[in-house]
Amino acid sequence: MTVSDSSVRIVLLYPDLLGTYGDSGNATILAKRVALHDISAEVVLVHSDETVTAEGDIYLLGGGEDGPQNYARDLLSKEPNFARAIDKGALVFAVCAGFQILGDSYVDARGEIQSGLGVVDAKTRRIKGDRAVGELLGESLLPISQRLLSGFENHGSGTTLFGRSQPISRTLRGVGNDYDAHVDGALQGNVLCTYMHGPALARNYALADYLLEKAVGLKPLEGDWLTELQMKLLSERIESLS
Amino acid sequence: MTILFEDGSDVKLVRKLRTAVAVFVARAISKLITHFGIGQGGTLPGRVLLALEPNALSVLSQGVISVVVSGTNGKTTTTAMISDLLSRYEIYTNDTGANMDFGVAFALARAQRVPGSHQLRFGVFEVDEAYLPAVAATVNPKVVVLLNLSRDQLDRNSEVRMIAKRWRDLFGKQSKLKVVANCDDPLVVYAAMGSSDPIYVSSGGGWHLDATSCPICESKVIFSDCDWGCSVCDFRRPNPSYSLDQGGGVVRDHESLGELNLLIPGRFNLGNALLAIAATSELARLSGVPFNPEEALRRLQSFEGSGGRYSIYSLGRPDGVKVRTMLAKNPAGWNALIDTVLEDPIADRLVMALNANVADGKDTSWIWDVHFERLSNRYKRIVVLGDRKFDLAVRLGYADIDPMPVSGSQLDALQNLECSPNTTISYIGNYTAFYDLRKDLLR
Ligand SMILES: [Zn+2]
Repeated sequence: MTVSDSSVRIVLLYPDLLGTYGDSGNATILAKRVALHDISAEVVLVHSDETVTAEGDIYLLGGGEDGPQNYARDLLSKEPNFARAIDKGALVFAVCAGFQILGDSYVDARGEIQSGLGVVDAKTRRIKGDRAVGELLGESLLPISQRLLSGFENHGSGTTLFGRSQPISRTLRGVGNDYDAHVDGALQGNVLCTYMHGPALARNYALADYLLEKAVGLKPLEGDWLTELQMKLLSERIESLS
Repeated sequence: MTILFEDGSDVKLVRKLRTAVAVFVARAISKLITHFGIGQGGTLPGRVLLALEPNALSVLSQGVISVVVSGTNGKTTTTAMISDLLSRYEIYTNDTGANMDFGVAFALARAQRVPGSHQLRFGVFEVDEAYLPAVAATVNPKVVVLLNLSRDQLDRNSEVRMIAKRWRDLFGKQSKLKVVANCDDPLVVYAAMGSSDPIYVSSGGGWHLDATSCPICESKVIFSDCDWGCSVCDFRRPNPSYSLDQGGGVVRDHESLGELNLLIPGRFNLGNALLAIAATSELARLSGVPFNPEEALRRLQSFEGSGGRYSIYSLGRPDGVKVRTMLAKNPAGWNALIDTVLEDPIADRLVMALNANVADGKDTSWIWDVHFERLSNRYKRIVVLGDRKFDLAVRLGYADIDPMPVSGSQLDALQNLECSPNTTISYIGNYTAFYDLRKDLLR
């Protein structure tokens, strides 16, 4: 496979395992926003029977059910290319089940503690309350133009951050990482995680641009019609909560 | 005073009496609901019925020969097709879409038995995937039709594999039940294999995202044109008894039964029709009534859809523009309707509507699993309606389609949409959006 150096390569990991919640939309959104800069973008789908390329600029992990989540963890733990790409500074954006397997440990459907990939300083246990299902709204802690981050959360486990990881938002509505955490997501180096589905980048255009800036140095888009449409969607979602 | 009954038990009589009272109350509530025009009148009366007598479903289904249809997409249409094929008999059916236990119970309760009638009574019920084991255990159907299994309503009911497993267990326990199943869907086949001698029908797949790993050994399932099989174990597509040949002819065990032409659009509806024929044929065989496949094919030719799905309505516009209403509740259904629209030479304007009420599922993320990109060559602009029109607008924008969000009533939007005279607008809406519009169209 040959790709010119100027092309941005977005690697969607295991859409057949972690594709339950429409999170593959994040790849569609990132690719299109790269294209709006007149730079070519390529989405590489890596299915569970395929090898992960080490040459990605951005790696995406989505949400999924418990069985496939363990399987995805098994596969990634045996993928030297994934670890190599992270070492080289590639950006990783992981949602929900993807977030959980990047941490130190998580809990599966049978309540068994599973070891994670240890990429992010986070531990996931059974959530301290009912399954978190519903709108998630948070005040952004990232240096982006968007003050509020919004998504839909749906998880039965809760995550505690420690060490070098920082949350990406302070929760205003919904649960986020856990009932007593009052924050959502994690940022550690070039790895960014969240519990927001929707998919996350559909509403949060500035988060998408932040990922592209971190990964390949693209400046945030301004005034394009897609961003304006997303602004309308975001404000409609925020208004629906008030 | 102790009363002894013929069978020695008074429990049964008490149940019958309580059921009679419950039926009376439920019918009265239904009449009030219909009178005041506040709903379709299957849900509340059904709930009251079961609250007053929890055994009502069991009591009311005595002596009724039933077929039950379940699966993610196509339940209502397939159920209506079977009812149509059995229309010369006395039929009980939950055609208002209330497809949980109480919906089935009220469908049995609302029909007045013709006094002195000795006709066979058939029950034709669509049943929610999760409720199938409970309803089947109570109603004791002779035939169960399994359409397909894919994700629906992410925030409530995501574990489709769990449902396939529960179905499989059910068929293991109820060995007399005849399963008629779609052999193109691996999860359906996995469930049907729980029964001893299922009848397979090739009614089409198309949505493989929920079945890419083998339900038996978790290895990858490999799909080719119209075949599939596990890459490791011997789980593979069984040969169907019923299929369609290239020219649209129905083939049963290598014998041609005649052509299948439908008035309603969509390749998946041909699959639904095939399942309906197979199920009715089995039901007829098991209950000793005649069934003529040629006649069934003729009858389905004039089938007009059910509950407004695929119906064409006048909009009362002076330019004669009409609307064809279509319902899609999940990515598989939505993708199938996109095929249908693309196959349709007269689909001039396309309108889409999205809501996220409880009945729709509160999470709209799944629209990113729908391949709207395929529409972009034909439709540069698409009108989007409903409470979540901006979710749809952003999705379409990223598929290179210019979305036109319109607020206010859906009917107003359709009446004011610029169209060529005498054309038909194709409308696709999800559950509550579709029913909102239909209510206005029927007013
Ligand atoms: Zn297998």
